[in-house]
Amino acid sequence: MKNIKTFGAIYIGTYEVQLKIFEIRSDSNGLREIDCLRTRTELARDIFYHKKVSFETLQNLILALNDMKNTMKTYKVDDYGIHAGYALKSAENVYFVLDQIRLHCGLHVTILSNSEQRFLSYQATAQAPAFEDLVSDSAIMADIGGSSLQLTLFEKGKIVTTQHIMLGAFRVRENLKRLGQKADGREQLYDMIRKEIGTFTNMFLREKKPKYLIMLNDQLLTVLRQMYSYKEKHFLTKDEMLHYLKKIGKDVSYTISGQGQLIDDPDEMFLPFFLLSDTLLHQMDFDKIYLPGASVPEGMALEYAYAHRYLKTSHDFEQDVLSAAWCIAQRYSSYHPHLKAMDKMSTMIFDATKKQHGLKKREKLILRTAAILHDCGKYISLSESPQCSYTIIMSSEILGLTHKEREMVAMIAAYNHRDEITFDLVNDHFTEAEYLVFLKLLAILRVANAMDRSHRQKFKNMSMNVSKNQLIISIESEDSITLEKGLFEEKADFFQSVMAVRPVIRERRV
Amino acid sequence: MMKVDYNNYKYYENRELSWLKFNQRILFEARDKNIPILERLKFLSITASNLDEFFMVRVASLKDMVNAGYKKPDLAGMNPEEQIAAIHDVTKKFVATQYSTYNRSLIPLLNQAGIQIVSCHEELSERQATYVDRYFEETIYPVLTPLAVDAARPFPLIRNKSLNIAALITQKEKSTHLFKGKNKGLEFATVQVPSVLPRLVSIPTESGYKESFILLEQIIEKNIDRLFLNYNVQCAFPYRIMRNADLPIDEDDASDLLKEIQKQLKRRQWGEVIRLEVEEHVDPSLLSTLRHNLNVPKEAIYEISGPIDLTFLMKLYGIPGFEELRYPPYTPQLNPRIAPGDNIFDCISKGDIFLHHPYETFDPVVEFIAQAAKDPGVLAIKQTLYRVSGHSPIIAALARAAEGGKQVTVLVELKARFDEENNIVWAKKLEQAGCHVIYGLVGLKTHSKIALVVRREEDGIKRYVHLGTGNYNDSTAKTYTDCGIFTCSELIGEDATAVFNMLSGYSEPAVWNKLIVAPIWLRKKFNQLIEREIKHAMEGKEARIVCKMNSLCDQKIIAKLYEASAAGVEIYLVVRGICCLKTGIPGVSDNIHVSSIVGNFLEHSRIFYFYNDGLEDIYMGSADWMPRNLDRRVEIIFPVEDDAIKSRVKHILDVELQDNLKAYHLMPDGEYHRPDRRGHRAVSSQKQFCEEAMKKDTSNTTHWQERKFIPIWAVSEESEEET
Repeated sequence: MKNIKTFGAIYIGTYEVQLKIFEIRSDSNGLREIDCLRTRTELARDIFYHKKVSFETLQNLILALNDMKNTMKTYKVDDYGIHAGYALKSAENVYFVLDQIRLHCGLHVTILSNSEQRFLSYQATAQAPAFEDLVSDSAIMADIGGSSLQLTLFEKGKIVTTQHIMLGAFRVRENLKRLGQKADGREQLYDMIRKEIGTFTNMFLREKKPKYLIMLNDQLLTVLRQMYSYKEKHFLTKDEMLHYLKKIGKDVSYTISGQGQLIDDPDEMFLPFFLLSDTLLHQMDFDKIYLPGASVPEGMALEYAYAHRYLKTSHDFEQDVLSAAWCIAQRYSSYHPHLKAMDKMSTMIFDATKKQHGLKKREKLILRTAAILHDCGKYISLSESPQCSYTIIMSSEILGLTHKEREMVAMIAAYNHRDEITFDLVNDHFTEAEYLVFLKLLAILRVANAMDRSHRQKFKNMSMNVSKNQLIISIESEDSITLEKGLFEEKADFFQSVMAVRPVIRERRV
Repeated sequence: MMKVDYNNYKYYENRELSWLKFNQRILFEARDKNIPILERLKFLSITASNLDEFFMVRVASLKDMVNAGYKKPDLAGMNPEEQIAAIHDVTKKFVATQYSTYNRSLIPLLNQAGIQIVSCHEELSERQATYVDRYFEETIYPVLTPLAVDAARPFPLIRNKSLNIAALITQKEKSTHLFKGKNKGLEFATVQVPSVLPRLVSIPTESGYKESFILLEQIIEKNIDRLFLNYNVQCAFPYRIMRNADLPIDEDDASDLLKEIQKQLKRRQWGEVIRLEVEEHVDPSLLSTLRHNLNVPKEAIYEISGPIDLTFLMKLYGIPGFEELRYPPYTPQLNPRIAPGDNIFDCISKGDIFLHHPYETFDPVVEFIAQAAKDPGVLAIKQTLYRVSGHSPIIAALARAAEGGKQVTVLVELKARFDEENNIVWAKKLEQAGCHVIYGLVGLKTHSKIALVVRREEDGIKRYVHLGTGNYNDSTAKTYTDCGIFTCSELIGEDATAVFNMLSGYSEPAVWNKLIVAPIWLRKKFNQLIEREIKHAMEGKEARIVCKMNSLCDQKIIAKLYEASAAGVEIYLVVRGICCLKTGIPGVSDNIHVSSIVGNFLEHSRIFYFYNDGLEDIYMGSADWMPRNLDRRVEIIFPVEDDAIKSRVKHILDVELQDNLKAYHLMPDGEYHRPDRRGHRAVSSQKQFCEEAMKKDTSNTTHWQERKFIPIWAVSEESEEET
């Protein structure tokens, strides 16, 4: 057998459960979808109306999952992943639901955070060859979900911002039902959507016109393919797209009046999707639209393949994380030179002490993100800055970091100046292993911070190496570094207690 | 040019009347002197059983419409009442021809050949009479249940399609009956001719004959006084009724389709009587008793001049010996690409394989499932089963596969007419073996014929698909002409997987790569294909449509074909059965030619050919151009893309269009006639295909070696446009 891995990805969305079976082929560096099961679920309705998952919905879910599990067995998958969408978390009985699934299906479902969920579809999209070109200019990426809408802005290949708007297709559907009876119901709904999207455009798109709009959802693509024999083109101009939308709009009302068969849409989810996309497209200024038709399961398979090195990614997702961090820092007016120095110095310390801390690439990314965001809270309050930093980080989305990782970043910012950091204090955030990582990263950051205490980047031509239990930091400086040196010892104590190496500053006279 | 309304009623033939014409064509075969006598009997028998089914399903549903007060006219402008009247009218003439054929041509010919059918018991010789009396005593009498009707005993339930004998009886003067004197007059009695006994009873032969038979009801009639010992039998006549048998299942309420059908099967006997057949010269008071008690309108009474229910002739067809009175049996030939013992997956991997049944054997299809069941690399087998033979080797193989731990998904269509009881039994069997059995979809019959094998190979998952025009039934595959292909094309494999996911209740895929699936996309596709020919014709290009199917009665498609004909598209249709299209209407259908082949094999394949300005498009599949196929069934139409297979399919259409021995042409007057053979080579398509299949050498038709690669030396304008 060639080096082919079979992977099953189950994704429990709020209105659809999907299983996709992929073959991962390292020789052709790609995924091949070999089966796809999609079925409707009423999770969104249950959560929206009753704040919990009903027994019936759960039963159906278990039925579907068992069937999917059997299908995975049929294909003899090497591994599988099963994730549930972020919205499930808001069900009061979510842990009961997960437990039932565990008991009846033997499947351990992890609930994704919003940014994890978005990241997976983003990852799947980014795999497309055209993607690099798209974002290297400027692009806005829209991902309409059942319960929310995610908008991400790219400029020059970097993420500028990503925003989560609590307006999903399901909410629109329910509003449609309520307002649909009234004469101007549809218009009111349009207004509501317009307002929500308007807030985003006003904040982030003032005087900017992204060249591309990337629509992650496959609903539109599906309809284009089915109804209008749409031939795969990577781009449609805005005009072409609006032309299609007009057509769909006509056909949709035709269908609603019960005459035509537009699309298999037993749960009336298409119309809300259509309304949201329609408003979004009208509201945004862009030249061309790109419909990649990627989904969370693809992202799951890719993540698995990247993690196990079956495939290599062409896009640098870590760079996305950093640029998102920089954008947040900029938004909260952090002092850029200081952050740059922090990023550089903490990276140097991390690299120099690899043997001592034993951490990997991923932790380094967390460290750098933390370095960039460590004092963003100052924007709100100078005295309460650590706490404010924590809050800002936890409420900002960074595509590419898991929820856990983001929490780590936020905690590092929050504990940057605290003396007492026992495990008891943080054990509701971390496991013991994570606690150790947290301490190590914190120690590095503190030393780096101490080295630029004056925020004047006095240290020049820095070099670091470990020798005999000492991390020797050789620097050149034209200015007096008394301030830095004075505060350094305290941080060095902490560093030493964590890493068993003591940082020492050696000044080379210029 | 004046705009023609192609929907005009006068451009259409009523589907029931068109069907009756089809049955008429089969009857022509029974009257054809060039055909061996037993074959002619078989055709006659088929007309009889066809007519029975027609009444139970079609007339019954018209009757339902009348009862429901439904007045909407059909595509030819006839309302249900008018249709029923017309049907009875035509059918009576038809039945008369049936029996004159039977009495005047077939019986004398049978006698000449040494086969005697004693038509009434009075004609028995003494020896024969003794024999049948003993047979009555020993075998028939114990299973008879005579029923009399009087004040205390209401008119009994007469079973649908069962043959019965009605008698008028009077009490014997000397009887010691307790109620003597009370019922002086005539009484009515009836007895069912037992269906458990053979209708055709072999009796000792008299000189000059090799075989003698008498019908069961004649023996009972002869001995009828033994059934009513205290009575005198005044007269006795056989009769038969036909009831409404269409199953109106409300699927939205049926939580368990299986149970519902079982329930309906029992209820079927209670349906309204839609036809009563009695023997000619029946006693008038006996007839009126029957008529009133069974509530039959006058026009639905058929007086038969011969044995009622001619389906027994099928049994006569099968009598041992007399080979010279039948066509020599045809043995389906090997497929040139698949030798017995070959690994079928290897064969398919070398290139798509075309199958043409019954000229070529059905074995590869059975083998496909059987090998999949054994193959260690096979992960899953998925198949639709519609009408399956009782001891189907396919079912056995599927069960074996499931027992061997493979995932087996079977979609069983329970609503295949009249086969339900049979289907339920083996569906249960499959379930017990661990197969995942799906009993159809609510609201839709699954008519598609597709089988998918998922195999894990060196190179990853590979899918093998069989697509066909006929059911997975190894016994009908010997008499139905059907086409099929084996392929391992990735795109078709993906579609096949999606088909089964869809049938298992999962959402439809966003796109179908190759297959066209009804009920959603099929009608649109055909419409587009016809429209493309129209466009080409308008542009002055050559435009042609050649299609072969079982029935053509979809009004929208016919209107589209008229439009195409008017635009100058040449249209050739080979339609076995119903054809509501009329040919030769000036300005409407002068470019449409319809022929119909009625041969020894039942024409069953569906092939759709579109010239497409030289880039010929050919499709095959399970769907006819009937509203039910296009709108209410899950059907699959698949493209024929392999060049070698394309030319074979074209050859099939070619030969069938040339057929002038077994084909009838539909004339502008609406009648079917044999084409004029003068100046043409005599062609019987079925015979030619048999000969071709026998001639085919299995060693050198391996087309994957013949395949030529055609280099493109210059980019033509067209190919530029495409990219």
